[in-house]
Amino acid sequence: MPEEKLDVAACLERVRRRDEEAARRLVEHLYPLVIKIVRAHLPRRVAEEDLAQDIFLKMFANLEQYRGVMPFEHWVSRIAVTTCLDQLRAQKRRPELRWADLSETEAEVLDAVITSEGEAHPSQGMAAREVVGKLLEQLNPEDRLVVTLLDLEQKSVAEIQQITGWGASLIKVRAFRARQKLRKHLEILERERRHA
Amino acid sequence: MHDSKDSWDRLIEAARQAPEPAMPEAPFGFATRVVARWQSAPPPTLLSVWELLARRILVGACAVMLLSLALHLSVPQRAASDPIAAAENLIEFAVLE
Repeated sequence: MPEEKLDVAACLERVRRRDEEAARRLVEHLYPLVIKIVRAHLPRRVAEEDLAQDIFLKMFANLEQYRGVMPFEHWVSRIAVTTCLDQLRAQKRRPELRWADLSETEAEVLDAVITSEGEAHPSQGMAAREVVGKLLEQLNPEDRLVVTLLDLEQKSVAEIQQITGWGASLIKVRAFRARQKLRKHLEILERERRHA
Repeated sequence: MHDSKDSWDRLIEAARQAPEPAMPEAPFGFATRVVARWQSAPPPTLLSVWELLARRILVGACAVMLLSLALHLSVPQRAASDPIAAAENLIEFAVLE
């Protein structure tokens, strides 16, 4: 039952003995965590369920390597993030984003943030997220991952270290470089908007 | 005109206001499918562990071999351009023989 709190350590012991019921419960317990990561970093054209399935299969295949140094959920998060990263690396970069590529609502929200001193209306949140998603697709997978975790999900550098295994300075440098690139893309869009 | 730094900050702020989607439960049959695929895969044997180790050892050995080759090729060049080094090499060979 999903409401019941799962004793992960006991469950893992049973999974190591290849207990199917325990394995099923473990997958059901971790599914919300894994699918959240997959949706945040989902490469284009990859079905989220297929990617989630790959992540769980990797988790089972590498279970013997889990030493209990970190919480199991963190260990699985790292597998999920690296799997998404591998998928992103395998994809070709999306062609440069143009003003004409934006939908009407996306153009409206970008217009609002470019021209207005104030913030975009809360109702424009979804459209803003779509625009951010399109802008992030212009970045390389590592930069994209760092900006998503740091700026969108507001995770701390320490949390990102745990998820990615990267050093703090590398994360900060990547974030700085990625934001510079994003600002450059926004400048291009702003110029196009003026000429549109 | 506002600089694009402000635009990015405002855009990401707006994006954070998007409602978080509800945490879904695993679709019906998903866990069963995953577990069935896991169970159908053979458990790691000693041979597969050895294969993995052997591959790593092979890569390491190749790296050492290339490094040795590079070192070996660089020594005579240095000796050729440096008469003292060449003389030292000759003496070393003479002593060894």
